[in-house]
Amino acid sequence: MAKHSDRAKGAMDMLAELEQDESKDKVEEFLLSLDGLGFFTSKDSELFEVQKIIHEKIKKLLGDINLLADPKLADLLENFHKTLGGTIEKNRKSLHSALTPPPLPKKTQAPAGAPPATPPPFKMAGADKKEFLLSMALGEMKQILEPVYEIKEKDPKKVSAELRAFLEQIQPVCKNFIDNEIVIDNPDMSMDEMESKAVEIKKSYAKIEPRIKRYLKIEKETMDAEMEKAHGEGLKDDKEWSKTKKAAEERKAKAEAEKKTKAEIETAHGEALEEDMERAHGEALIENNRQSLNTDKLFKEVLIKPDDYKPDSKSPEIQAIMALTKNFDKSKLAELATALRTSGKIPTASQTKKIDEMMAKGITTSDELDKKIVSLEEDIDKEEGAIDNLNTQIAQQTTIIQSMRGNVDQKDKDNLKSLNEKLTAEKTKLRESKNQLKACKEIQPFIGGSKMSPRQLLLRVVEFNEIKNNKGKEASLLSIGEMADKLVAAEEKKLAPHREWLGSWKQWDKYSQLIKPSLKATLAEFTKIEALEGVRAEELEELVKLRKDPEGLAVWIEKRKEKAKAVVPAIMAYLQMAIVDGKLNILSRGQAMELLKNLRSVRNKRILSQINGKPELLNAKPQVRMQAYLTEMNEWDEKSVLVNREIVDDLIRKSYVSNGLKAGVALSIGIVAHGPILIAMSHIGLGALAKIGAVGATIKGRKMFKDYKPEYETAYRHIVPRAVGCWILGPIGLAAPELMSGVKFVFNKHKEKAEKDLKEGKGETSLKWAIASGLGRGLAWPFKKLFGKKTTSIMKKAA
Amino acid sequence: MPDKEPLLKFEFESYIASLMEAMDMAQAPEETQKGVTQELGRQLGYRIMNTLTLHFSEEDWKGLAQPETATDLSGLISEAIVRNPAIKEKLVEELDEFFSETVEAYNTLKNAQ
Repeated sequence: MAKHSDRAKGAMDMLAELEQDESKDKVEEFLLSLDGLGFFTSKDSELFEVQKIIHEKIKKLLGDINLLADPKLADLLENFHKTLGGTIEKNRKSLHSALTPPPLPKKTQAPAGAPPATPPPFKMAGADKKEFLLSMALGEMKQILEPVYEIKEKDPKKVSAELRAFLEQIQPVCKNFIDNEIVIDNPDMSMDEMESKAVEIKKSYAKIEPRIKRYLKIEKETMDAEMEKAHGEGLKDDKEWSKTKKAAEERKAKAEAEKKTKAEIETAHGEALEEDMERAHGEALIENNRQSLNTDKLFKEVLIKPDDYKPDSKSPEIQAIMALTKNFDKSKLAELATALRTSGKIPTASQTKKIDEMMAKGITTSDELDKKIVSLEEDIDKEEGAIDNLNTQIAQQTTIIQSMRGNVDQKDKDNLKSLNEKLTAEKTKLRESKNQLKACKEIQPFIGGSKMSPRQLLLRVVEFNEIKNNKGKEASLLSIGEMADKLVAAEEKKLAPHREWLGSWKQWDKYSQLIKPSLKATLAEFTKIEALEGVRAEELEELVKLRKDPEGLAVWIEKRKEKAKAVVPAIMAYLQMAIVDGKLNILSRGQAMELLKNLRSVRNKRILSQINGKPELLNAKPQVRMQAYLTEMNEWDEKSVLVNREIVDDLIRKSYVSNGLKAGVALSIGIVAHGPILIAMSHIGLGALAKIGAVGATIKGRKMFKDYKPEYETAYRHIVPRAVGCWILGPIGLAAPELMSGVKFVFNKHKEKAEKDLKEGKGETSLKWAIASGLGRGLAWPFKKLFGKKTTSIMKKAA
Repeated sequence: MPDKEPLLKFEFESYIASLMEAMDMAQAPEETQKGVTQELGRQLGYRIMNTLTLHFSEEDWKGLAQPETATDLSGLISEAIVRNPAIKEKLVEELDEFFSETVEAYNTLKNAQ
């Protein structure tokens, strides 16, 4: 660019600035400045190159932004595009005609015996000749460069690393070549300038020619070597090839003979083995029958008719399993597990893993699995059809390209490339679908009906026991008998007992499977999450399953974010509620943190790959890429509401208000019932006893709240003011009917205030207010006794 | 890894300065440096609030205001530690983790080019 005028330099500098900020305002400012420089209307040949670069940039920007507000500027640009576009097109045509050799003179019939005609010497005027020679130089250069590009475009992955590096290296030279091609064909260029450009081109050519030839030679040799390797040694040498072929045939014949013999031996061996196995199996069966009647019973009663099972702890099947599991010792269970696996009645470890994966995807019933299989089979049909179609298209395209013999149109090349890419993608999809179908079919016998079958239940029992044995953590896990007891307890009492024994995640895993039918109710009771903006318990159930699978969890969040916006904050509320005051054991604080860490790790990986894939950041400084990474990360956090306390608090408060009101109503009924009892007892001289009763009731009430959830405890803080108010005001009202109007007024006032405070979460103010008013009214009672009816007016004034 | 001393004192400016140094930010244009500092501050805020969310009870939260400046943030942390002394260790842990996570991400981005 050394020869560009100041205007050209100025324009390029402005363009560099624009690269940093392509906002609408900057674009307009840039265009106006160029207009000020007379850039758009200039015919100066020195500006032409810059005009061309800026033309491309503007085209891109207008395509991207399309925001130009100034109609004058828009018109100006339109003219600029037309003028410059026309010049480029004209130049292209001119170059094309320069590169096309002139037509040969028509052949005339030579007389017999005459010497062969020599064509007349090629004459051309000075300028034309120079231009023609330059064009020829360009043509030669093209011939050298074309195979390089062809290799690169054909399949960049197949180009050797060495050649690829070289191609990258010669990019600037090639660019220079292309730029010069346009410049040379510029009609505005002087002869001197053209000559100087010709020298530059020659230099570039001389510089790259030997290297290109060398690398092409290497590439050819590499390809030849690969071909040789692929087709066997000695492909080139006929003699050697025959020799090798003969040797190969001999080897093949020998191998086939050996294979035949081996197969015969194996058949014989197999038959013998089968006999041995059958005998051994028979013996083992007899032994089993003799030693373990229980196992036999289990096989017959449980495994043969598993699908009509209902999850009822009183059903004979489950009772049978309970009885068996209570009596089983570990060695019997291990023996049973081996027997079941060998007979294909329960899945192997890898099949169990596949079942768990399928269940994590929400496929838990045989109906759902069947649907999945049908859908996969349909997908496979479609994908195979698409592959056939693409193969046909590729064959057609290849035929077209082959028929063009070197004059291949770029469009045809691109088309073939795109078809090949589509084919690869379809093949990948097909492979995945086939793998999934295989996995589905493999586990089909093990996925039961909509409820857990005894077979699955037994499997879980066996599996549980195995884990217990393998991990050697017996002390921290429950015995089979205890587990059975807990299962029954969980079925019978759906709430309280769970919390005592759901401490260990391992146990929770197993039990969550065992008590699946009641899991929804359990979770709903535990988390009260159903109160939170329509989040369904089933979703939480899925969440529980995914808690150790951060990748799956991230996908789960992503999938549901759009469907139910409340789910993401609810997850966080779920985490939040799980750890409030450490009272809920669904997730401990540590587990919640672990979950967050996992989520973050998934997030980081995703953002990093996102940033690495952004073409505009490909050549940016690592610090700029880091800034983009941090911005993405913060956006993610903001969207995921990881820390949005306001939302979480709001959701929790709604839950508090709803539960708090329920608790309040219950308490008020209790108080109303207590009031007359206390009064009656005082009247018959049992005042002290009544007082003890009242204190007892208070303690009981407090305990009752503590036994519930933390949100009840908070509600308790809101409700206590009302309770205290009622407790004190109730007896006063009943003991002194003449004060009732004042009491009612105060009570209603208090009620309104308490409800308002409750909604605003100002429990503390409400408490102070109620205690003060309650105590005030309580203290007024003795005065009533002393001053009689005057108290009414005093009370009214006080109220 | 940053020096533990400023971390324990919650001197966020020193913390951010070490982080910027670990990412060769002096090499970057001023605009990028500003942008990165801002984003780091934002993420730091999220991390701190997250830690408090996980460890604070309803009672601990009362009266704590959303921080607007680095000084506010330091003030918030001091107040949080007074209310719940165990939070200090958790915060240091979180900041430490954020440091290594960020530098690791930077190196990955740098080496990917």
